[in-house]
Amino acid sequence: MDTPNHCQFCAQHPDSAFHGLNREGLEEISQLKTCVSFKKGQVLMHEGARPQGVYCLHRGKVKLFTLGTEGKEQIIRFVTKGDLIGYRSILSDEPISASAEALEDTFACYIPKSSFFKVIEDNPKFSLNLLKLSCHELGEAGKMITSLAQKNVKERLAEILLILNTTFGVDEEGYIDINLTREEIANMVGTATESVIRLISELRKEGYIRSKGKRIALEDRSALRQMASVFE
Amino acid sequence: MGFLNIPDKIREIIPFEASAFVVEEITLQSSFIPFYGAGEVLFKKGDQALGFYWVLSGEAEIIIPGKRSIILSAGAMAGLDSFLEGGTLPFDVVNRGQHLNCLFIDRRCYNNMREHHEFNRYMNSMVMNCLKSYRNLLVPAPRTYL
Repeated sequence: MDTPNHCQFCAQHPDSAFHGLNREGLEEISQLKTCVSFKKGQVLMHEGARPQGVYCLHRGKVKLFTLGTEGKEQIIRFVTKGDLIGYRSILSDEPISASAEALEDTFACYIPKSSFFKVIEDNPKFSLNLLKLSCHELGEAGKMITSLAQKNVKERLAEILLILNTTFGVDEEGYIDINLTREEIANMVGTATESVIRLISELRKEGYIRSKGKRIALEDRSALRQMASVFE
Repeated sequence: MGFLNIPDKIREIIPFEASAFVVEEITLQSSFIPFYGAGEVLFKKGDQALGFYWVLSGEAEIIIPGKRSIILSAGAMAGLDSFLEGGTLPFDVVNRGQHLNCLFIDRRCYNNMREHHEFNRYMNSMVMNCLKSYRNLLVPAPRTYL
């Protein structure tokens, strides 16, 4: 795996919150970060812990989820390359609010809290990037609350499929480029696995999607957008 | 310590032979958290105990205002009592030294550990340690070492 020795030469640098950071800031982070690999299914951070640093994802896909009172998983969102994990917890000095688990073999850089705070203090542009990121995530959380409260399960499923398509893109055969179990999709939609299996079958028969094993491809995106009341 | 030798570290601190499979499972299900400076917070009083820390190396300290502190060294578990109770942390727990390495064990990982006889016994001894440490608070000594 191509491990970036210096953040300046990292392929994810242009897409990350560190974009725009000055040379000294990148130098500071590069010297103190630890590059870590995680196997599929391995936990990066747990809800309730107080990590003393943040992960910047270099490669792989990670799901963020919380566990309900009966141990049922609610997937909040996915994290891909260039994204940060755990930064809100250390900024707010609160325990982390969601667990992070690798969906595939993942590679991430761990940046200690002290270096992270130093670059925030020294780089107004980086601080602004973090502020934008927080506001964006707040907005997305608001949309998710509205969706869970006001949309029916089929509409929510359509919305989630559109989000997955946008977040992960498609492979060479047009399938969404992430392998999620039906249970994981159900945990994102906020319903039972059986309901998701039935609704995916319905969407397939109605021509909105096609599927092959776990993989799903969107056939009629505009109709799905209409169904989910999502407008670009 | 890097992030890669966690299975070796687990084997070092447990007083029994564990199968590679179980140790690998614990490594996958727990999350590794390094602490770099003295005073860094593992738990703050009032935090919900959704899991607990298992100290791999270094020392953590339970700060009890007006009382002696409790030192947690390699092998000890911070917040286990509150986790089992399903409540919140009654005291702050902080990093005592320069470099502290911990695993955060959540409910799923804990349940898995409980399924293995030797780990189950080890966890029971940790619960007893918690009780012992609080009982020792009644005895006038500067610190309790676990």
